[in-house]
Amino acid sequence: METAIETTERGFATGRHVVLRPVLETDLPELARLMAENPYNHEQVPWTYHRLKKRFEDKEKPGLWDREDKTYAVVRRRGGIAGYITENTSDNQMYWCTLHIGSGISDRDALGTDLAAAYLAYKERWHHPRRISFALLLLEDQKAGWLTAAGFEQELVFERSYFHSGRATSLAYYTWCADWALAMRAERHPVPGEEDPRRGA
Amino acid sequence: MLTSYTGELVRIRPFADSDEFADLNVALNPEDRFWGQSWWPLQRIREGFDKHAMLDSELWFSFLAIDRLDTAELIGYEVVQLPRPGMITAEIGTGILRRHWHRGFGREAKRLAIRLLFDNFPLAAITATTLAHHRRAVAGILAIGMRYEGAIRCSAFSNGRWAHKAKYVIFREEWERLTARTAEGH
Repeated sequence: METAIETTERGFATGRHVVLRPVLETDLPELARLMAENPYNHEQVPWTYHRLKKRFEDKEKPGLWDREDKTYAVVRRRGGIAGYITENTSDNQMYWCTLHIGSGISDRDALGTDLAAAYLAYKERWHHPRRISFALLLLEDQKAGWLTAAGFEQELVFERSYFHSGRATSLAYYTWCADWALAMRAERHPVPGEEDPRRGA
Repeated sequence: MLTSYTGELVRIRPFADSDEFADLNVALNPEDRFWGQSWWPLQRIREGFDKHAMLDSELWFSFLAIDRLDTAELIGYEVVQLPRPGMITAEIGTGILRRHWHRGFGREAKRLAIRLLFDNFPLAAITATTLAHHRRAVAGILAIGMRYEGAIRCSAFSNGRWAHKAKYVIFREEWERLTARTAEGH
């Protein structure tokens, strides 16, 4: 009997073009390639299929998914992995992320913009986030555009902080901050001097 | 790699078993009204110390002891971040027991930590982070020649409200200019 439910492509978040879901074993060959080509991946050595498979099978963090660290596969609605998001949350309501969509994909901008919006909508609906930050290289203009379109702002540039392609390059945080958190800080608890951290005591 | 640096007031060095790192960690905590209660159970800190002696590239932050030179007392710790994959910056931080505040020990410990990191690793810059409203800490960071880089909004909870963290940086060439000037001044 044929099952009508394609459970493997069901995700947490569904955009116009992509869904987000946990990584499946069948994603690993393509996911390893995507991870290796991401210019910002905080790894000493490149990802390979076999290395990623070992990580995927890790008994403490099976499926690249635990309480603090999660990897979401970004899958086209019609099927096929196109990218991924990594998410770290060691602090309640605060998420540190990276994202990537395959560089050779012709509709990369459409998928990336959709991905950023779908992820933010998902977090807002289910996780009451205070802030969400995506770290990327400053030279990754396309990613910055996806995030800006979804409501993220460039928050901070870490000048010459990352070694990439033989040279020092800058990292940027693109951040979404909840209005309620900003309001709670600004209105209820003003602190003299806080407005200008260039000055000390 | 050199791990001990001596200045005019203090020395930074690796912790030893006899230093009771866990007790120091706990002693420092209630004295900080900005960051709140953050120490782990003693047993967990001791286990961490037994595994790494608080100095290991596996740790997000390593810790060095700060000794006063005049009394040979252990007065706090200096946090140093050993280089992480891809990164060419590393972070420092300082914790000094309250009874030793306001005498320049923390500022000198920071300078020694910057020297240690620049001497031993191919880093482009050293950074520091504190709460944006923590004016005493900000003053200490600025006093050693770091400059404000930007804020990470609502990234900490301090005294019942969301607070921004402020990031500070000094690049290797800025540090070298600064230390050259200081040497000339002497």
